[in-house]
Amino acid sequence: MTVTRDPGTASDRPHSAFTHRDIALVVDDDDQVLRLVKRVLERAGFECVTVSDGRRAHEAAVKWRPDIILLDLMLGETTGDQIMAELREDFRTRLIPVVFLTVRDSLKDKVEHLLSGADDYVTKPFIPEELVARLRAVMTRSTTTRGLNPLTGMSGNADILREISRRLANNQRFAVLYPDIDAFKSYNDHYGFLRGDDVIKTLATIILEVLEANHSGHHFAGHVGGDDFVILTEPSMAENIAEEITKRFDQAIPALYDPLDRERGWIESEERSGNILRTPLVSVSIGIVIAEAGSYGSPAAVAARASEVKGVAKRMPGSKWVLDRRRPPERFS
Amino acid sequence: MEAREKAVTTEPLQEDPSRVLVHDLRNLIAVIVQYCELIPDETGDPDAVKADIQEIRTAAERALVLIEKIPRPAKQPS
Repeated sequence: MTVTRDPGTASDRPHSAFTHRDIALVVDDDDQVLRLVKRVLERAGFECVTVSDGRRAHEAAVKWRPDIILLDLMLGETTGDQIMAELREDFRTRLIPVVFLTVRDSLKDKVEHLLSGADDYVTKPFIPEELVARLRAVMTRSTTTRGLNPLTGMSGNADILREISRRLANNQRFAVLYPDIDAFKSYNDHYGFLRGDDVIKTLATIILEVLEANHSGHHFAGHVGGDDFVILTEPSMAENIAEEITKRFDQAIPALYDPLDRERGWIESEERSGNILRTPLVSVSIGIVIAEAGSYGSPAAVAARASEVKGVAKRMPGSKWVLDRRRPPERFS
Repeated sequence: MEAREKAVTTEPLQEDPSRVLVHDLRNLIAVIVQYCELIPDETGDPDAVKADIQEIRTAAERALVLIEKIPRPAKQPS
């Protein structure tokens, strides 16, 4: 693989807090083409990561979390189509827009690839201004139409619904984890919504880190909104994932409090009646439901059951998870 | 999803060598055209122009090597 810089972890993406430049991952087996595209994109203000070995493209996408991926079609031992399929199957890369950049200019190729899920198709030689304009347009479209949660960049409701429906339609057996932050409203009221956002982002990061650490091709994570998240995974991994999320959340959360509140372990607020209320530090409650093949007729039924189990978890103090051990429903509709 | 799978499965992993050759040649010619188009914007930067010309030369030389690999029809007996 010729990655022009050492790939870092997701947290040290080059533009994360410093440059605010969009990252483009360019995959082409010809170094001259890579140099050319890199130069055009860097001039247009992109941060550019290049990969000449197509077999390493997926790995580079996971490491760099690019904002857009440019793929050639013919890449020696692999193809752009195969890479796109791999990217779309992985929850970490499935939402990254993909643009094919290729010399294959037949109408058949263009139509086939656009229908198969590519976000755009540009032929070489390209007009630099047009390429950049197309990439920018694709990136704007993908954040607005895919309904990503603007705070965390995770899949939003539409994608969550689609993924649950797909698993149900395939008669797949899967686990649904429904994490929710306890005492979040008190934190928000006390510290303001901007610091409240930090709590939500902390949970989002922990969820993604835990899923990455427990690798599986069957993970999916989405942000329903507010302090609600949804994780889909293999049933055998669900409890371990829930345990790790609660543990890491409890370790991370004290740092988000002011020293006094952190030391005493609560925040104080005054009710309208004048009563002083003490609210403990925020914690996370996770409800787990195993969707047996054929048990649920709709995503709403799965969500309702998960919400019920999460409610049980929330009634207990501190961070914890509860697995629904009841017999699966005959057939929820 | 089905359409995507179809596109993936209809794409053979091992490409036909002559198709690969045409693809690589077109890639190199695209590189040459592309660098030629960059040069007019860089007249104020002689080093950038020199670098572009070097890229064009490299691509052209690589294209010549590839052309040698194109199977030629046997010479007709005179």
